[in-house]
Amino acid sequence: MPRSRILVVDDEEIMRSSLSDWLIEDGYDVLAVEDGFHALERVKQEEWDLAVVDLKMPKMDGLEVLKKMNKIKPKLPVIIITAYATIDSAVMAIKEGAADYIVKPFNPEEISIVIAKLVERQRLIKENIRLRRALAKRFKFQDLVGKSPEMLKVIEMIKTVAPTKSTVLIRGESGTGKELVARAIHELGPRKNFPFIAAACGAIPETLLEAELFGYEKGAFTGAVSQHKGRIEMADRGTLFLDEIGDISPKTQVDLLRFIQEREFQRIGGKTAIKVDVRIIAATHKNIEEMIAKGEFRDDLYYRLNVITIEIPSLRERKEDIPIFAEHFLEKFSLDTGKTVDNISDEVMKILIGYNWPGNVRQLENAIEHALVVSQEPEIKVQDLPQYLITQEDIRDEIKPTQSMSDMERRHIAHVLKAHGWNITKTAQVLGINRITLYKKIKKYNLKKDKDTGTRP
Amino acid sequence: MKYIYLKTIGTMETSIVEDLKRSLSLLIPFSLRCVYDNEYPLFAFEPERNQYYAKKIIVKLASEIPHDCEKLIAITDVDLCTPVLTFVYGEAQLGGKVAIVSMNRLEKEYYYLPPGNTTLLVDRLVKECIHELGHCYGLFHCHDSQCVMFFSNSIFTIDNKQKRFCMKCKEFFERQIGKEHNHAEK
Ligand SMILES: [Zn+2]
Ligand SMILES: [Zn+2]
Repeated sequence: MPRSRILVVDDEEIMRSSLSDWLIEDGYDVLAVEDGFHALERVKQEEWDLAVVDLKMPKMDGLEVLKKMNKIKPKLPVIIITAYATIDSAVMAIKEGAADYIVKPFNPEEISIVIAKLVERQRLIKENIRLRRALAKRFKFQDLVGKSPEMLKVIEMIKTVAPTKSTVLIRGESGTGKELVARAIHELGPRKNFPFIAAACGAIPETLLEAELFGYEKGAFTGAVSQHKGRIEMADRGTLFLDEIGDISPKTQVDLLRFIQEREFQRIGGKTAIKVDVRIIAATHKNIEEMIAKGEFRDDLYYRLNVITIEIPSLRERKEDIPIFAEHFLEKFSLDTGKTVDNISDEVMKILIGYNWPGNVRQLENAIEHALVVSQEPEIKVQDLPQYLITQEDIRDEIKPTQSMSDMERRHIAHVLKAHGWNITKTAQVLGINRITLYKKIKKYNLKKDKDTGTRP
Repeated sequence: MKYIYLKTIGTMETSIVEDLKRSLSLLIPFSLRCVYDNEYPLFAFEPERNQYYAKKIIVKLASEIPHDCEKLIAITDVDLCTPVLTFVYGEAQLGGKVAIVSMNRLEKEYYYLPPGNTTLLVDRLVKECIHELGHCYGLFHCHDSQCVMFFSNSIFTIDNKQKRFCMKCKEFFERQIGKEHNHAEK
């Protein structure tokens, strides 16, 4: 175990040497500096486990050093030391965020306990961050992040279908990462050295979609000044990813069905059949069965596409993956922006886990990017989050002295229910009550589930 | 041949010093030599605290060290302190020559024992002497509460620990002695 590092800040030489001698004997790595300016430089440049700062110093006093240190390294505990016990300065120091306050000369028993306690706490915090990082790395599969059973099932499916040529239909709400799954299938299969061509069917206007997919010959229509290869042709020997397949018109559905059956097609305005070897992966967030019932989607095309289905769970169905995603995006955007934001405060993490993410992973990604752009400090704080997360009801409600027990119980149950997507078993488990009791309380407090924003069947 | 010097400062009973010397000689691989000095180190006295600064005494002793001295441990009856600690049982130069141990507080909390029985007091002195000697050979505090290098912040922690190093500290201690002696021969 590496030695913990302590930074001592005191203007008096005798105090500096006396304190650092003792700390060194006690097994710490110590550096003692004579003023706040030197101290802040060191805090910026190096990693410390604890700072011990004298209150009374010329130029910059201990409280100011403390405030500035908190800005630079919010997680670094700072002990304020002073020559006389005055309640005022103690209160001030604690209010400004000091981890503790001690009067010198110190009682040997007291100081050794105070320091050991803070250093140990710091070690645990660091260990926690390290573990979270390692976890985020470990649970990354082809850019797919997660360790929830739901996500592991998806990853298993990907591994199973990747070596085959079967058509795959990927289903999941918007923002769940359907294209990532399609890419993973491509990357892990025998076609990985050939193109992966994506067509966002929902984003391309109907009139253009046909030309985009099948290509056209020169003069096929006004504006067709030269021959143009379509995406299907470009994907030869590789994978064609048809995103938002539920958005295509009946006419294109017919063309696509014919192509899938015969594995050949003609460019628009062309006479010759072109044979290609492509693997098709389609994706949708829509309820296709419902569309078939309404006559909006061809069932024969659906059966052709739906050979193998992969369902990607929404983010709120796998909340345990939220911290892993958050760390993953934090690292990604830190690299992109060059900012050294390397931590997410516990409070922020709580909010992220509590939110129900209608926009799924993509929304979480945007939220982290937002926070990183806004953040002025090495740690993401609540105020850095997008407004809609900050103003979420209940979660950040403080306990008010006027609240009754039942009011608190109601809020707490509502909060836990929301945090677990109204999963009764899980909520009851967290609350430490049985499900019957939970149902009774839901009824008693007239708690209702929010309108689900998802569009899954 | 080099000796570990035991030097008294102030008023120390000869019988206690002799007991201490005998106990220590069984526990450390050196011959010991006693020197008596009955003067009080007034230069280190801090009237505001009615205590003596350990460091000042150490600095003075280090300037007048005998040539056949391996390490010097001063034993005193005055109450020692440092600028940052309300009191210390002892202090040493980390990796240096000189250490000091006070029996002031070791004895004060001893009064309730049967008169004439100095075994416990000598035990406590032995532990603190070995502890400070450990520092003189570069040892840091140990996390093992039974080890003599465990930091004593109260009389209970002293009484609780053993008169010897734990395995890890012992190894380090012996390696350090070897190192210092190799260095001296070259
Ligand atoms: Zn010590
Ligand atoms: Zn030890």
